[in-house]
Amino acid sequence: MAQIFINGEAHEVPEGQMLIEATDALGIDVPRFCYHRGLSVAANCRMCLVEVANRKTPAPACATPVSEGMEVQTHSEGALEARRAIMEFLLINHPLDCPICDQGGECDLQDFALAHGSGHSRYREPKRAVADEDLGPLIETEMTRCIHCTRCVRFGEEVGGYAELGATFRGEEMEIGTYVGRTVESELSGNMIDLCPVGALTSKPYRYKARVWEMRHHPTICPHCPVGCNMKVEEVDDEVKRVLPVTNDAINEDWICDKGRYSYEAVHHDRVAEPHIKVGDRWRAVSWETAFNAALKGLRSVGSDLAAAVAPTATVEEQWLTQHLVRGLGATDIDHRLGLADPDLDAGVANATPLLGQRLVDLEALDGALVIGGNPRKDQPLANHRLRKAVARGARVSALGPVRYPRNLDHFRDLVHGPGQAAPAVAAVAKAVAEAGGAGVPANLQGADAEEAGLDPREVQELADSLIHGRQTSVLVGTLAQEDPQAGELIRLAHQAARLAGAAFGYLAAYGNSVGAWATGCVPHRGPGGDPVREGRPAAAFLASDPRRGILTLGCDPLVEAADPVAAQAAFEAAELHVAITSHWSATARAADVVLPMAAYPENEGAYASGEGRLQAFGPAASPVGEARPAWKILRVLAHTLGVPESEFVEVGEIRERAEAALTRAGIALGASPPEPGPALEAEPRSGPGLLRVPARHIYHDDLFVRRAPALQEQFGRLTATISPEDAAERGVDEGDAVRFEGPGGSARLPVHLDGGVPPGVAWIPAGEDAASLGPAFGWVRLSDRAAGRTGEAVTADPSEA
Amino acid sequence: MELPEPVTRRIDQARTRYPAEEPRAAVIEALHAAQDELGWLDQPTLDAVADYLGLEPIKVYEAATFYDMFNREPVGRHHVRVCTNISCWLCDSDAVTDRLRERLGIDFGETTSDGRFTLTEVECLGACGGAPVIWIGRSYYENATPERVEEILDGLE
Ligand code: SF4
Ligand code: SF4
Ligand code: FES
Ligand code: FES
Repeated sequence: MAQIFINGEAHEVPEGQMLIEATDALGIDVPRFCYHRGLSVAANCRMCLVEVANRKTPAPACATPVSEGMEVQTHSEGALEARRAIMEFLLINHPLDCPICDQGGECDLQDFALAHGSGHSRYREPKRAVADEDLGPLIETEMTRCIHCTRCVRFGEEVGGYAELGATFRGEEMEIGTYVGRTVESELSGNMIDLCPVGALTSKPYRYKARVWEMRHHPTICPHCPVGCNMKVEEVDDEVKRVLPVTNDAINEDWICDKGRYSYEAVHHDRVAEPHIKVGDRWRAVSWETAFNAALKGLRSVGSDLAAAVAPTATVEEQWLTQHLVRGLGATDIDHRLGLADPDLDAGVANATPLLGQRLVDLEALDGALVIGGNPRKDQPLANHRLRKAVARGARVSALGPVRYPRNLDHFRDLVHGPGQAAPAVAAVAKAVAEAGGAGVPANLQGADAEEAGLDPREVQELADSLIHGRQTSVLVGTLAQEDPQAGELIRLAHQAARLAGAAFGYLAAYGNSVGAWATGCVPHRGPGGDPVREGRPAAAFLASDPRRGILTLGCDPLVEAADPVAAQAAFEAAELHVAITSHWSATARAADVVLPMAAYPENEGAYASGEGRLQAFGPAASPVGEARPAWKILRVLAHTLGVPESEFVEVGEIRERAEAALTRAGIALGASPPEPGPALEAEPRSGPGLLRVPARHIYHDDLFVRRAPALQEQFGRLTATISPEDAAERGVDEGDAVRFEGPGGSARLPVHLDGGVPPGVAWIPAGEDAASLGPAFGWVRLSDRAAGRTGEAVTADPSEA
Repeated sequence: MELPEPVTRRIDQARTRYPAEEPRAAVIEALHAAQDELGWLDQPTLDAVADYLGLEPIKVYEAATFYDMFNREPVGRHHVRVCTNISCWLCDSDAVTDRLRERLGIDFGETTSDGRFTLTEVECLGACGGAPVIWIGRSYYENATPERVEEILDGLE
């Protein structure tokens, strides 16, 4: 610690800190444009000038380290004079367009102009103007307003991990942009809008939608991924206008990803605003009473022959109540793992609650990690950010999976196994760990062979060494691996590798409340808190070959999200009754008999359990559209009317108490380790004809809510099949061609993208609306030949369909 | 686009002088190499340089636009750059530029129709002691006058 004097008062501050960090911590106001605590110091704006005793010139507080005995004046006449001069320079080229600028009211330049600026301009020469670039559907630009603080540029490099914006040209001609008018693609791009101290970068979907001083703020929690970012919804007159991050150093720091930021738009799109029943082939909007009666009649008739599919983005209250209803009716089939393709998971891994196994901040402190079958950059962007920070500190983070994703961090080893060789590849890593550890190779790993799994044995060895020789290392099972047809095998082997390496074990879950869904009993074999229940069948069964007479869907869209959407379609057709509780119209809602409109997340109240094991509650930011009601109220009516005991809840808090108790019994706590899976067995490869489909989801296409958010869908573009250049060349397919893929369930015509990160024999086709017709997400697909009749399996691309 | 072999050879050479994990250090030399070979730097070339160095394209665009020495438009066989910054201007660079314009029949930023000459106005060339200064190819011509302009241009094919 060093003692320094600020405005005459003595303070103890940590040595080596920059002055601005000290004043920020002490709550002493020093204005700034370029400094941001999450970015490197650029010291280019000079707005933070302060006076330091024994220095001839004012010093920038953001780039002046504190030193013992330093005497600083932050608000002396000299300091203020310096800042006035800086403001005068900054305003030379700044347009006077606050009245039509979205930043107005929350603009640092505006605020400081008021505090430090002069009411008159001495500048008589022409101002410079800068042409705008189109940065895509998320960011609006007005580059004449830019003050060249380079926060956005540094963010791209340092946090986004891939520089897209830069400072081109020089001096007065300097411009911030992509130089070539590219769409900014970073999944964290919206943070640049928050960082921009002026109105140069603003939100495109929010453009001209509101003035900041009219809006009310409601804290909320992001439902989309297990990070559980803290956010706020802003609303005017009950209409949601935008979403911004709320700083939480333990979770999201100052950031959120674009999915969390822009998905709110779905509140206004494709909503089910009234209860509906299907009469013959036609939908009729009806009163709640009529709809309830139809649902109740159907539910009474199917009795316990009922299955329920629950969204992993539903709140713990909704999840608890759904299982309470279903089990109260004597039914047993309930699941939230719609995409899970391994029907035997529960036999091998009785409890796969996808806890991270550590805190998010712990990820930053790792010095070695292995992510198996996952793409954290897109699946859990702000967990990935922690891994990036670890890498910046020198950690060796590796990946192992069926494809090499476009990365934004430097992997120590980024290994791609052969098609269908996921389990043998993990076994090879576990074996290498065992060998390096010197404690002998367990029997089930004796036969493991890196080369056979399509890996380079030397790289596997290096990867194993990095896991053993770290002080703190982790093995993380990614989103894709958790849904794999061999998920049980993969999880057990990954756990074995972790144990052999002395590494922590954890999961990177797919959705915002998967942990809650497990703990509240939305799995067929475990009740709330893991209580024993009469065992039912998983979604892989009841959404496929083995349907029930009745089916209830809550907030999800199995016709897109199920492990096999084609089989799910058949299951829906076979069922007599399908009650859909949903906020949006979807393929699933349209296939229902009764549609009950529920509140979407910004209108809802409840809590989510994050991957870290944190239960975070939030309240409504707006009233539900039309006749929609919070799902917990809908479920309560159903349960109560159908005579399920203990269903007279008046407040959501009463349900939360029960859900919370279940979470406690299930051992969900901050940083808790996931339960141990069963012992690992010998690894079996998968094989089949054609290309192995890797259904790794697209960040903007994975849940129903996101799929209804227009700007994100524009950013998403079209669902694309990514294949290897080798496979493409063999079949005469070029980048961008629309090609018909044949899957086990049917065919789909998709644009093709070529990427060397995808090995031959693999087609990366994300789960999604355009790919649902292929059938099993993890199936084998055949790629038709563009030239008709060139091979036997060819299905010609039909230009009339393009 | 693939960079021609002489360019990649020079880039490889340049890279040996910097730490392997700092490809950005070689950007300027890489751009010189590409420009020497191709005459000017179009966007595919800049992208190819970025790709070859393993950098984000914007990093290369930044360097290529920052420095006047890099041509982002095609230039004539002889690129005549004349300094009009303070020292040169005080020593009557105006007379020199006037003569250049007159003789070549083009203005700054233009190229003669036969593709022989491009005329560019530049800032201080760091040779103020010999102001006014003209820079063509690999040579600086100091203490330039309108008469010297004629001589210099006559000497170029
Ligand atoms: S666009 Fe905004 S954040 Fe980026 S340099 Fe300009 S003022 Fe700074
Ligand atoms: S999707 Fe995940 S990373 Fe993105 S804002 Fe939501 S919780 Fe945060
Ligand atoms: S904040 Fe210190 S120079 Fe910009
Ligand atoms: S001003 Fe012309 S060389 Fe310096």
